[in-house]
Amino acid sequence: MIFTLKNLGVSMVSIDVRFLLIFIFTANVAYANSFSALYLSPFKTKQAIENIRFISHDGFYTYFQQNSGSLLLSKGFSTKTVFKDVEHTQYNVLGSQSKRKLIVTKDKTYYAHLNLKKTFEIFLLDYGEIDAEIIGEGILPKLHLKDTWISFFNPQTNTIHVNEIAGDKKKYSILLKAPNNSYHQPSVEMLKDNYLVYTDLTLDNKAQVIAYYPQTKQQDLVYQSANAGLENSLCFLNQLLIIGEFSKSDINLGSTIMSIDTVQSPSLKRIETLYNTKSQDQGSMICLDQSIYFKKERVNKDEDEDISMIIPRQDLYSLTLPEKTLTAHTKTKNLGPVLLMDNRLIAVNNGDFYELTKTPPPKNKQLEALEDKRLEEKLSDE
Amino acid sequence: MSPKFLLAQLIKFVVFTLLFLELSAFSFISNLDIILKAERNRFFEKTNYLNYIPAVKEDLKNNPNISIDQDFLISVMLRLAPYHKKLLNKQSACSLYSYLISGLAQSALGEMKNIVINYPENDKLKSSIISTVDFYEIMIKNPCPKVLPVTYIKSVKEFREYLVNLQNLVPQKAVTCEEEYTKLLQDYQTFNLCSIYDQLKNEPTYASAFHLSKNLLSQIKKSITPQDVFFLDNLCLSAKDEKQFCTDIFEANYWQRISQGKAPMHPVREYCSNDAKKIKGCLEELTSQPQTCHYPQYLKSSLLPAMNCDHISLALNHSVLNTNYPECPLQLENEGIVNATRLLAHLENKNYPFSDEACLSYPLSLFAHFNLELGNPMAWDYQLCYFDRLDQVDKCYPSIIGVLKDSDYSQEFVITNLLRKNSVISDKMECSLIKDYQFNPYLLKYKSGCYILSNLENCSLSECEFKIINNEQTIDIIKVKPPQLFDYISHTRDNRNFSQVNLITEQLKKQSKEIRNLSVLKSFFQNHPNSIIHGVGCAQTLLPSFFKMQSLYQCDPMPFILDGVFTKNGETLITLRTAIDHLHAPRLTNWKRIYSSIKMLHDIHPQKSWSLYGLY
Repeated sequence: MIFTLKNLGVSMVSIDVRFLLIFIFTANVAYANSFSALYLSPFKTKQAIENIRFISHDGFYTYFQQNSGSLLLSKGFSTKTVFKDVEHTQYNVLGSQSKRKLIVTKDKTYYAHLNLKKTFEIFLLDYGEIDAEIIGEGILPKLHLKDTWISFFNPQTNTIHVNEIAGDKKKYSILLKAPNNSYHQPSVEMLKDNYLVYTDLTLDNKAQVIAYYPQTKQQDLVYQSANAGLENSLCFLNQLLIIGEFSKSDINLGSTIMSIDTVQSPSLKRIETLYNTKSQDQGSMICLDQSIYFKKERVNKDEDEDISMIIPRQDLYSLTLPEKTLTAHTKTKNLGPVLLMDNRLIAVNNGDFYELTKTPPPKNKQLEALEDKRLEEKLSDE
Repeated sequence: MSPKFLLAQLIKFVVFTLLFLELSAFSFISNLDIILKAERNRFFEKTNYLNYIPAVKEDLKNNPNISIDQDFLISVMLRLAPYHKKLLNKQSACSLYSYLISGLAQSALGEMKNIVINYPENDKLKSSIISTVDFYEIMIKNPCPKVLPVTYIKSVKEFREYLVNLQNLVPQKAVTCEEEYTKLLQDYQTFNLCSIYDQLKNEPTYASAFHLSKNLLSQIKKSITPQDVFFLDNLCLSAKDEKQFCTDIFEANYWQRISQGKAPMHPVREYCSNDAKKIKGCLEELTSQPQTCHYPQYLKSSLLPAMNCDHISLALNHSVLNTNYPECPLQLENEGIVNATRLLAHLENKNYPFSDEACLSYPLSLFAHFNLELGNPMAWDYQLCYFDRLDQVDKCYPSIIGVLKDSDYSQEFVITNLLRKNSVISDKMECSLIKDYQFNPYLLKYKSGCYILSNLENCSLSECEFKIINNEQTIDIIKVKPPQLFDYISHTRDNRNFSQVNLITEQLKKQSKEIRNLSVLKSFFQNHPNSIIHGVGCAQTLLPSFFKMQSLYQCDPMPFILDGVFTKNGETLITLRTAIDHLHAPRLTNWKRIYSSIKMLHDIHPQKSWSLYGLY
């Protein structure tokens, strides 16, 4: 049987429209596949999550703490003690994308001395091992150059310390200018073992990115914000140094993400703007694979949210390079901190940890019931 | 009926009409002049006649039916200044009496030295004149014990107590605003205070029963701050209608409210110079340029940037925390002490004059006194010690850092005692603390005596060096024992009774209610209008633009206070005072941030405590 188009009741005009619709649909799928949004999946662990301080992506290594003051490593079917200290010692464990070393911070007076300028003991251990080596005292420790260097900040002396982990074990420190009451948390990125960049504040609170050459102690200004109240953060994406400029508190001076190709412009003079908006983004920038993940103000006029909020609603977005595609990943409207653990993106939402996954979380009745309960609570609260 | 009687009736009619209908149209003014003139003549006649027959005070004392003469009262009421009208409680005789003896009331004779009274005698109503002093003794003292003559104030201290009592009555909450404002205006002390303010502005040229001595007035003048002037101007010279006042108060810009005297002045000290002439301009700048508050000129010892002036204004409009004392959170270096002293100062309604030196010593003194008097020396064990050669041990005495008058733990006081014990100075000598750069050994006045050289402005809890010089000799027998640690919230069952939060709640006999969701928080503030909520949460989720989270459960515990909730453009906002923010720079936040910060700390807490409590 031969069907003619006319028999089917389809005119040539409607064919054109349908063809166009199919084309648009296909194109959309392709677009969504190449820059697909991540899903906020509950972060599930075999043991109580509140005891875990680090878990490897495959779940083989778990560092967890006990109220007795111990930090332990669970590896396969065995458990070993990393530290045993005074009761209720609080630990933090963090690594890097290189997965060679881990940093442990230890706070023995977690409940007895509340001070945001307090320093912690910082230790270093091989990834998945228990033998720790003390590095110094400070906060914001970070591994660099494939885990061959470590930097940390001492807020009491306003100094960044940089230590070589192996080899000559070189050490140097950089005194910051940031005013004491800014509670400035510097961002540090090492480009080479004799060259790093860090963020500081001028005495009149303007954010700066400074290149530092330890051998000559030379400091070069890479970038300075035009106004006070902005904060710069740094991360590395392949050979690009990414500089984020985001507003603090309720200051709304817009948000900018810039890049410097460290190979093409080793003197860090050529700055390219990747993203610039008037919205009040919180930042918390993380560079992973080809994307810069950051918390961005969600302004959705369809939901009648065009009235400027005093506490802007934040969600996780990414800027994928080189296309500079902006993708929204969450719709929580008030996402908490975001961090990177063993190359996994972890976010806090309503006090709980979630993992950002490429596939949607498996739905189960318990979880749905929990979500419904949360929704009910949220509705009753708002 | 005689023409005089008719005229008197006419005057009464017009006066009552004016008083109760409060007519003030221009056309009445010329007529009013005529009426006043006639009333004055009539009043002269009556008082001239009565002057010849003064009543005997003793006779009147036992007469229960004395009343103020109606004509006299009308004469006084006709001369009641429009701005004093709101201060008079029409339902209370005591309020009227407080006006009559304040020195502000005037009759047709000018300043009111005497009062015309009526009293029954042999079935007839008699009139007589008595002095205001006698009037107080006969008619006020017993029925109105809170009404006192203006000259009752004998010292600057008494004046300041009067003033502070009234300043504390400035409404803080929308719900109770009208009631509180009326209470402030019609307080029995108000007329006296306004009378003194009048004397300060227009120095009296003659002695009177209502005038304070010249010496006292000049001392009071010296103690008057720009904020006092704002307060008194608005209380005594431009009191407003309650409804208007309260509608304005919680919607208007806070900085404008201050310049109108509708809000306490002390928060402004971090934003404006203390020069009275510049304050008005500064308040206008805070209103027109909200970004000024991000980095205020005089706010150094707390987290910056603060919120913009519009948002701080919103927060201050809806907050109730007592902030009338000096404090510098950054120098205190211990967020537990900051929050504990804020709770103590609020619950005990503590006030203290501002000074840079006291911003460290005053909160420490509150904390030290509370714990030491309670027998909890573990919480505050900063001590000054010397080696006792006889007993061969270190002997230590608790102290605060810095100087604070009236405190047994003031460094000056403790060091003086220690040096006396060691016979370094005599029992009559005292050591005085001075700024180290002020000490000049070449000056004669420093050649003898005991001096503690320190620079309190740069002091902090962990570092505050001092040097003792006695008669040009350096004394180094005193050592400092630095403060140790204490639990702000409990984390073990064993020590839960000794956490600061528990001690404050129990010792000050307060109830504590767990706040788990926004509905409970809202109803708590509604049911307990002057109460506050306090808690400890993770800094990383509470102030996410300042503190980064690098790893799983990285949570720096930070104490905070919540002291208000309101909705603006559909957004529910909570006033937040973290322990690193200045008392006068509150922030606005939402429930999600607070919940998240408490929930994370709850998860890792050994006892799984939910650390957000309403105190009432």
